[in-house]
Amino acid sequence: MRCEIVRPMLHDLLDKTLSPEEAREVGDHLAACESCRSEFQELKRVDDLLREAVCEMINAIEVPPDLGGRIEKILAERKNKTLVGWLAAFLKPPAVAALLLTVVAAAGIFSFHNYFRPAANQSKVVLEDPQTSSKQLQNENAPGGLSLLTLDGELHDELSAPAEPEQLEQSGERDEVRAVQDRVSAGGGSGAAADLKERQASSVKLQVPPAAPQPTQEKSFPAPAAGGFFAAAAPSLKKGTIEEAAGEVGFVPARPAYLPRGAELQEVTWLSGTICQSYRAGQFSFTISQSRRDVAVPFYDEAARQGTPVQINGLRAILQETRPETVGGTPRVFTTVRWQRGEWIFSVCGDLPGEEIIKIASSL
Amino acid sequence: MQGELDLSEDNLVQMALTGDHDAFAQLVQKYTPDVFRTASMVLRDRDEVEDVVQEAFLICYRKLKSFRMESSFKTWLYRIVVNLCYDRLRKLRRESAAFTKLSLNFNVGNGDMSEIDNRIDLKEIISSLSPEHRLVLTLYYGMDFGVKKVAQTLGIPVGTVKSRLSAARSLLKERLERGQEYAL
Repeated sequence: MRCEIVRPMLHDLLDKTLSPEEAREVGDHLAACESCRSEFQELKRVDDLLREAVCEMINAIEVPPDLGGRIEKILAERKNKTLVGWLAAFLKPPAVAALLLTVVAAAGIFSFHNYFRPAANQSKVVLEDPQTSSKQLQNENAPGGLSLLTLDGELHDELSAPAEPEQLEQSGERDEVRAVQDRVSAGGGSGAAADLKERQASSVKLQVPPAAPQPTQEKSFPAPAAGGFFAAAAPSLKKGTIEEAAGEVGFVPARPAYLPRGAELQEVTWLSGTICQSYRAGQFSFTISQSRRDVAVPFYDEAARQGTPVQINGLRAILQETRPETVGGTPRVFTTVRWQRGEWIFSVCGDLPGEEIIKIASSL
Repeated sequence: MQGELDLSEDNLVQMALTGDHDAFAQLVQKYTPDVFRTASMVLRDRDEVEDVVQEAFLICYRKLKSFRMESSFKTWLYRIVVNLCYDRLRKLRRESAAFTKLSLNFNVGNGDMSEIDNRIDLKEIISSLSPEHRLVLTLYYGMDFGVKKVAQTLGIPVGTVKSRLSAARSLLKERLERGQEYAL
């Protein structure tokens, strides 16, 4: 074997990827050829140095001693939780979840495409007070009308009507719908936090839109309605001006110093300890939510596990994106950034590009 | 010895497959440290690494039924971890343009000549490699994966693994030779 052939094989020799015969031939050559031998020895030295350095780097990494135990715990909890409870753990802040219940219940009953209109109309539909908007919705939506925007008996009635087969792709969803209706009728119309939690827990099950593929990963989560995240459903949700919100909830929400071009505040709504500001910028829309930590904590901590860590002004935040959903004919991706600053939990959510969402978030 | 370990791991995996939660818990305890360390060689942020490790085991747990034993459990788990790391890297890159040094070429520059200590900081060189290169080194040298197993875990051809290894060795060899030139 000639040196030119052996030289490239020296790496293979180190990697142990030579066949026994090749290894023997190379070995024979090395025994006879001093220059190749010293080349190999140099390579081996380098290989050993690399191994040593990599191992030192790896061993220097401190593993949190309780990590394995924590993971075990989570798995054990996961095993015990029902599907509903598990989904509840990944829920968004209360205002969003309450809205999603209505939005998705609607989506479950009517075809997805009917409900999600182009953004311009959509925000109007979503944001208005249930009492005044039900008629409007009836006009705007598919035959049958949509009168489910309160959680009282109306929702119950809508859900108990047999849903059209094509709108509930899986029988599992139908069962989920029944589960919600049971919970709702049990919970009544009160806006108590406990009830809201119940509804939120059950609402997540409905969040699989019939026309969209079933999310298979824990990471994916339901597409929120474009145009705003205001629960027109929960009886205790209110809307008005920032001053009114501040007066009722007890704090003045942060305003963004940066707004995308053409962005305008559309509406302010609030619910228990959360204030939401809804903006529209051209064809895009986004919502800024702010709540006190104690209000949001059960949902925030778990939800925080599902997403990408980002930094908002040096604070650790979580960014989540939905898969592209076709809304009003165009695919939209909804991005949410959620973080904590002191006693406050903030979130910015919208169908703007992620960078814009982060800019807005950073400017609060 | 090795045979014994493999057997007990196979047993654990089989038991876990039949729903034995404790068996899976033992697998978690066994692999958490090295998986954490491997992910730490790719991602900088400790919290992110924890998230990735946790998520990897959750995915593993969920998808255990579809694990077909084509590769070993270890390779499968590491594959999940690696993919999660890459996902994070992609997202981080999107958010911050100047994220990490991706070049394999570690340029010395004139500044180094003024350093009193001419020893080559090998760890710095390794740190400056791209995450993909670092992963190859970590798995091959650190976790004792053979070339084939590295290829399987990273989902790349064996040839690519080998070329990354030989590139790292050649780079280091060249630096050592240059370092000797500077030594007094």
